[in-house]
Amino acid sequence: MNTRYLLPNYLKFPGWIILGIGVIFGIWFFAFDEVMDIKIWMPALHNSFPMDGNSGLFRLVYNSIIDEIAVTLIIIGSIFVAFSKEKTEDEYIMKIRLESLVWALIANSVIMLFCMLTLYGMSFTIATEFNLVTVLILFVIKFQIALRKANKYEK
Amino acid sequence: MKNNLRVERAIKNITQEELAKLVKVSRQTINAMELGKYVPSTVLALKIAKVFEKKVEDIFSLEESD
Repeated sequence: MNTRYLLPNYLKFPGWIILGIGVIFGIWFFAFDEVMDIKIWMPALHNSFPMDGNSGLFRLVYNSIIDEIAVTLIIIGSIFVAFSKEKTEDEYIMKIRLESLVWALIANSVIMLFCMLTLYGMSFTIATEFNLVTVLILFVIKFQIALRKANKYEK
Repeated sequence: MKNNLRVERAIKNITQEELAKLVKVSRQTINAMELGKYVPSTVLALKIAKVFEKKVEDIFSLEESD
């Protein structure tokens, strides 16, 4: 079976670990950012905060890196988990993969539409932060459930 | 599309797992085909026919809804 774009199977397990660490950083950011914060100067392509005088292109910003670490790890981890080949990657698995991907894209679009129409201000900003990773997370969950289901039926 | 995979498997006395190995797919794929939940590609249908030493039409056949 021709499987372009898929990663080798051995990346699946490291993917789960990276994803797990990313989620821990994500919880840290939302739960304890006020008390345990790590701030560093980061190069910014563009910065726009109305209140500070540091807006514009190519600025250095003093920013908490916990959320950057969390999103980076979650994206890399979930790409490894989602797009590594299964042990036997065959045409039926590809079908399940495709169906899960379509489901995840539609579900994510509905969630984003709902957020856009109902959330304003900081709530919307927080929702868009989540939306950076929701499509991959939804796909991982849906694909895992579909695989389990396919596994279940015995002779 | 209908198939009589289960019958052919019983005649040859092999499990889903063994058939899966012979045609290099997962056991889930064989299971999904037997349950009528998955229509195999032409390549896979030909491989399965080869394992049972039969013609594809002897194992797979069209249904009215096809």
